[in-house]
Amino acid sequence: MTEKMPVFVKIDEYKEVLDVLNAIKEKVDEAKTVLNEVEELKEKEDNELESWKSSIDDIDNNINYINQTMFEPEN
Amino acid sequence: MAKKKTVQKEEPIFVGIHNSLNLRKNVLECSKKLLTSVKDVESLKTVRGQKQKKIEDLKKLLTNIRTNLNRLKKRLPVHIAKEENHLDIDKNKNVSAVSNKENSSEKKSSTKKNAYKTELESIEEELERIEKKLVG
Repeated sequence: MTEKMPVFVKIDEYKEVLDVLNAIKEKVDEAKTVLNEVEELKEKEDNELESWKSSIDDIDNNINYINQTMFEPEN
Repeated sequence: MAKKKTVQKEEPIFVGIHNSLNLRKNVLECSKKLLTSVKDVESLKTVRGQKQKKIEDLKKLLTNIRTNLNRLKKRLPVHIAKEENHLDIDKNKNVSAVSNKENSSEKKSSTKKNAYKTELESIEEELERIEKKLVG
């Protein structure tokens, strides 16, 4: 029953409601921006990790070459 | 005589190495890449720090939104908000009772963890209540 009945809100409270709604909207927008920034930073972090992995692989190759050279002395 | 014998024993033995230039080059490259890796680690630390800060900011924003939503709920007409408020008051009582018990029985170090757990539990309860309302 109550769902179909009209609801009346005091005009001063209505204004407050609008203010609160605006504040919520602003904060949601802000949250969206921050979330995008977090996403960008995550991507940057992934790239850094990838670059790190690549460097370590290169070092591994170099060390393998050095190892091979050192253990195969000239006769 | 003894000295001469030790000198003879200590004579160095040389081992020939193929491509000594390449070897040196590889060692230098290795050093360079290791330094780059150390730099990468520092960069990664910075990025992680920035990300952590942003996550904290996001958490604060979400808490703010939640507070504002509660304010909005309070501004709603009494007969609609009544049911909500009753539920909220009961929940707050339960939560504070639980937290009081925890505070008296456990040490300060574990309080933060419990507070987080209680917060998480209260959020889960609220979520459950909202879901029930949406279905019903």
